[in-house]
Amino acid sequence: MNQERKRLDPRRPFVLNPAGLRRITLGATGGFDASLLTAPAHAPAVKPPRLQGDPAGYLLVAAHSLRGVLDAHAHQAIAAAALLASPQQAVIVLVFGGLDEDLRAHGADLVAVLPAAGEQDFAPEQELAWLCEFVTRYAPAHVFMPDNEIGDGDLGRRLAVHLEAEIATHVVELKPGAVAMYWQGGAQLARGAMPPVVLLAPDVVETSLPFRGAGETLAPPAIQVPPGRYQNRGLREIAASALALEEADFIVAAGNGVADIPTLEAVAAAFGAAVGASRVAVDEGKFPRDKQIGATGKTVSASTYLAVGISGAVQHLQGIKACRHVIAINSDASAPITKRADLSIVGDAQEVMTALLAELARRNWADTARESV
Amino acid sequence: MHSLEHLVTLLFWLAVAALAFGTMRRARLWRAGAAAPFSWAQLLTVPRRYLVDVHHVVARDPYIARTHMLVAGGAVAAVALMALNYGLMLYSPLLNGAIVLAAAVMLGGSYLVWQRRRAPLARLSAGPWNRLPYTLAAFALGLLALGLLPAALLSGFFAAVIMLALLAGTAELVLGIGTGGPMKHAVAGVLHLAFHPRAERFAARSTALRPLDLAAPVLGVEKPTDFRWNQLLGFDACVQCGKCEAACPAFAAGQPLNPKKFIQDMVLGLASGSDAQFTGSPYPGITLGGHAGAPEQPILPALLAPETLWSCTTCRACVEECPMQIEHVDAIIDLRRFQTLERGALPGKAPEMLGNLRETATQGGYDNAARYHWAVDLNLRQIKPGESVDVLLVAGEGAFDMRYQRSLRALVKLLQAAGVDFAILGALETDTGDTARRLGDEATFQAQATRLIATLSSVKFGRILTADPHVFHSLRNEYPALGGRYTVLHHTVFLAGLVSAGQLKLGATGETRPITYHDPCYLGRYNGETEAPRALLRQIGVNLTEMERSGLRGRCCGGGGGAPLTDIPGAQRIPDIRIADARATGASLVAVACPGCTAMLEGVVGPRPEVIDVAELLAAALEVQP
Amino acid sequence: MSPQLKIAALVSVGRNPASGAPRAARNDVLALDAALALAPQVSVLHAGDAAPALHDYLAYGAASVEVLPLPPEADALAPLAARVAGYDLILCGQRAEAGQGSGTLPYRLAKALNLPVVSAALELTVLGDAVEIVQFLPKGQRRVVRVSLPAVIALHPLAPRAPRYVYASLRAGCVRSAPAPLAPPSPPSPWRSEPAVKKPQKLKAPETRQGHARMLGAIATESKGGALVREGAAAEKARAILDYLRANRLIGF
Ligand SMILES: Cc1cc2nc3c(=O)[nH]c(=O)nc-3n(C[C@H](O)[C@H](O)[C@H](O)COP(=O)(O)OP(=O)(O)OC[C@H]3O[C@@H](n4cnc5c(N)ncnc54)[C@H](O)[C@@H]3O)c2cc1C
Ligand code: SF4
Ligand code: SF4
Repeated sequence: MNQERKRLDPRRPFVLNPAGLRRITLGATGGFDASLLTAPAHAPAVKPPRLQGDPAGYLLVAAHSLRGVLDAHAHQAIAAAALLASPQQAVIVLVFGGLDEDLRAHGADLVAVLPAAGEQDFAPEQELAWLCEFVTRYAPAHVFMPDNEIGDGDLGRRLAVHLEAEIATHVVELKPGAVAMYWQGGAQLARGAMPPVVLLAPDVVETSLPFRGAGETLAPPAIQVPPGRYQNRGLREIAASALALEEADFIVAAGNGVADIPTLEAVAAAFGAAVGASRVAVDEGKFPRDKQIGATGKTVSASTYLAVGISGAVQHLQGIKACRHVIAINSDASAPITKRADLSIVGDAQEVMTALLAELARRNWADTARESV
Repeated sequence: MHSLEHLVTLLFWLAVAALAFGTMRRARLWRAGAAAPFSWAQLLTVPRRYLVDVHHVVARDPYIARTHMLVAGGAVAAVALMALNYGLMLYSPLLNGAIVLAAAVMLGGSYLVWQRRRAPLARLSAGPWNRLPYTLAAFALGLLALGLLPAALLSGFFAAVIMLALLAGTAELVLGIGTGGPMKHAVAGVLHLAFHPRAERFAARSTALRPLDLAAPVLGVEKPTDFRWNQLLGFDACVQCGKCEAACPAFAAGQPLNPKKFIQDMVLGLASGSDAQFTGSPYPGITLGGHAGAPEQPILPALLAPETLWSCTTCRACVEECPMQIEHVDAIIDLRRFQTLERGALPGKAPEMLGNLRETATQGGYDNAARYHWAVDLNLRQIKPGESVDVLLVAGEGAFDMRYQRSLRALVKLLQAAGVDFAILGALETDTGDTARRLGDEATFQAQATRLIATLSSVKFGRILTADPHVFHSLRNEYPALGGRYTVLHHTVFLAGLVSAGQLKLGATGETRPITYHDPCYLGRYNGETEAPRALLRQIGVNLTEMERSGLRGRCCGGGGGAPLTDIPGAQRIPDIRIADARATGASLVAVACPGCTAMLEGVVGPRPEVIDVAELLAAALEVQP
Repeated sequence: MSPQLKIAALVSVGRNPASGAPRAARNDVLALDAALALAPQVSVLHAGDAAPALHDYLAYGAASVEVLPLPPEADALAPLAARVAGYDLILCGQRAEAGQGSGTLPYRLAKALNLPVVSAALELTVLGDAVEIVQFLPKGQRRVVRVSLPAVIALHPLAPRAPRYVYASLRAGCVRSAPAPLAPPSPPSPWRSEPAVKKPQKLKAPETRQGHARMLGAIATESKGGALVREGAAAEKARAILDYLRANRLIGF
């Protein structure tokens, strides 16, 4: 099996990030370029490897990537496996979709990538076959997957049912050998021994690790199954601005303190955010009624809620109870929204929005500049 | 001469026949409605109901009171005398003299009608109503001519003219009922007074909704014939005076509701027709001509748009103003009952709230145990099953609202200062179901009521005290029909009692700003309680400036009837109008006595008068005691 | 509408998150509503007790609810699979509100019946002997998937449906119990549950920092939110926002 692992070229171009990790510049080949070394003055020592010697067993993490990267939730699943693995157990990461990032910092020891598993296609039979191939080949003690809606929650359940194995879903607490998950809609916490298939709820693992994974490449599973019962009929994409507010993950909302709607919409577009509004802004005809957030409008659960010129009346706050990060821009430091907000910017909405756009444009320019180097 | 008198007799009896025929024709339409108790003896109640109850409303507008007294009084007297003189073929000159007098009175009245219609108010209808001064005058003039002109002149051309005038006037008077003309109101109005669907209102203020039999084959009203027959009769009594329209807060806010048009649409439904000919103000935002109905056709949406039905705040301002004693709100609730119970078709957040009530016994979907979080540090006694107390404080949904908790805490402070023996229900309290009932969800209302009644019978108490007029109204007026009979007091009434008994000693308020008081509909109009809050404010030295619409005629804040949940768009918001009313008095503080009003008025943005509950003002006065 | 389609909607007893009161589970109501949109006759099935909350499904349009009695703790799979064998379309909610809510039932049922299963369904259209499903993906993505009938489909909570609660149809419908089958004894559950009072602990690497650093870290996490930025030019304020977003990984740039 060892000979199947393709070693990474240690001399691939990389940069050192502040945590002392080497960041491989993807796509580029060739020798080491010293000019790319931008290590800070007090760069901490490179973290020690976790795995001791040749692996005596495995933990398997499987996750879908999106545009070449795994999301934070998938990183957490990898970190969970790495934290729970014994020094002799290797963490295998099986990535459905392309991968343009280094997973060592997250604790991956062996990484197999299936670029053919188009991130957009629904091919549960093929993906299950690949996953099963790895499960048979490596006999991992546990399979960890993020319980998400981009395919892993679905695939994980299919795996457990296929293997007739015990499964724990929406796991909120992990300990060596044990897991806990909510029952009864969150009223009960159920504990038990860690089952073969573990689907993690988001944010239940701290991803900063004191060690690194080996990060070696592993040949992906190769089995091919004939086209099955699921036919893909294409993808549709709803523009962020048209996205139903209930579904939006980032909302920029305008209140009575916003006079210039195009600027606000530009800010929302720059963040890829949906646009919402307070009742007053809706009443004034600046937005259609289905943009209203609050007691008599929509109830939203975005991770990020940027409230611009909104005072934060109770009826409005009722609609954003479930938002995790609330940022307010308001000229009045004592507006009730500042009590709810995690970050409050006291200032004129127009000025701050314009500055925000300028800052974002600068950054975009920098990004494009970096990419075109 | 002889022949003319006989002709008039003939005309008289023809008219009587036409009136009888027309009335019977119209009655067929009413009788298509659902059953309601009936007895001819009810006709005996008409004079009193007319002279006391109708007059009480009409007298608010002295001009029209005078006008109507002259026209109707003159006409009734003239017709009665004609029955004698011509009907019975007495042809006595003396009686003719009396007829002349009556006709002169009527002519004077007709002149006043004409005056009024020269520059008609927006709330009045045009069309056939505009010809009324002329036809009435023609009738009066005809009678005058008949009685005054020498016999010699009463022949040939003159006789023909007089007969024509009489004919025109008589036609107006007697054909109205059969053809749906303006004078329909005279017959329908009298019968409506006799067979009124809410006869209780003539004994005392009556505002409770009638319980719905949840086992009935159809729940609520789908088509005109599902109304009780006397409700249909009531719609026909409408004189299109538009008093209701002028009082309606939803109409003023440009929401698609106009109670006058609503009643006329119900008339179209019972008599079949389209609203293309309607000559009054339309529903704001809905053009005329698009709606039509028939007795067996569903009312929504062909005759009435759902937005119209759900705009109503159930404030009863229309009912309060209606000279014909028509019950708009009952009709609206009947229609809502069908939409809710048979169709589940409620707009906005209303379905969510009803789900919350069923599942959590709170409107906001709160954990019911949190209902008394506002009082955790106040050391209040929470009553337990089997215990007894004098005063039981029921807080209502406002208990979950941080703003209203301030008012509740002020009330508690006052009760403690007065040494009242009181307790709260704590987590035992559940919603009264009041809002569900206004939204037509009688099933949820009755379930909530049954639950709360069971809780209340597990404890012993003398009186129930609440700061929420909606809780007050449902417990006091609507629970008895479901078996819950209690003495219920609103906090303003209770506190006023404490003050006059000397139990609660208040100093002067420190408040120097000009103050006005906003009457909650469910306290004022629904329960007639307008004096206690004012007395309390006077007690602490407040010099109230009244708004133009106050007391029993106060303007709604927009918060009733589930309207904030159905949230039908208009040109502006009702509370904005109410705050403008307050501003017009120069007040910079509005005293209120309801959690709903507090929330609605505080929801008005921009600089506005401060909104403070009476209890809070009193509690502050407690501190500055001499 | 294809009236000849045999459609089953599987419903469970849900739970109001605030009061814990039993109710019709929101996702199952969506499944029922979607089923009723496809066929006038839908078999509405519940494996378990004839709980009063099942009447809510009548209000949401079920003509009747058929209860497949189940001993407590027994597995609902076997009786359900036996009952829905031969159906064209089996719809259910993606995840139950009460009980374990693991969202595995549709998969297990599909395996038992050897049927395809699609979850996260927002909309479905029957096209002859196939069904086309619009599947939810995050960030405004939608995927259209077609499977041939029969199939098991689990509805996503955001399915754009507006089920109506109608008291009159609650009154008209009935909840019927099938005769209790002889259920096989189920294996003891490997899970122990307790009231969830304590917050679950995050899994993290053992602490290696020294006292001072640890204290600093603790302070840093304590001072969550509530930061107020008053001073500075607009550009600095804008940067403060971007810094916050980046620090919490809310933006990818
Ligand atoms: C029954 C009921 C239901 C309601 N339902 C809802 C609902 O669903 N949703 C809802 O939103 N509201 C609802 N409201 C209304 C709510 O009470 C508030 O009136 C409303 O939310 C206020 O909107 P706002 O914050 O945009 O306006 P305002 O209260 O006017 O606040 C504007 C804010 O902008 C700030 N500001 C002004 N100028 C600037 C500037 N140049 N730069 C930066 N900041 C500025 C001000 O300091 C202020 O804080 C409801 C009210 C009631 C009574
Ligand atoms: S009750 Fe009030 S809101 Fe409803 S129609 Fe009458 S006046 Fe208008
Ligand atoms: S309903 Fe009453 S108040 Fe309204 S127009 Fe008719 S008679 Fe006048």
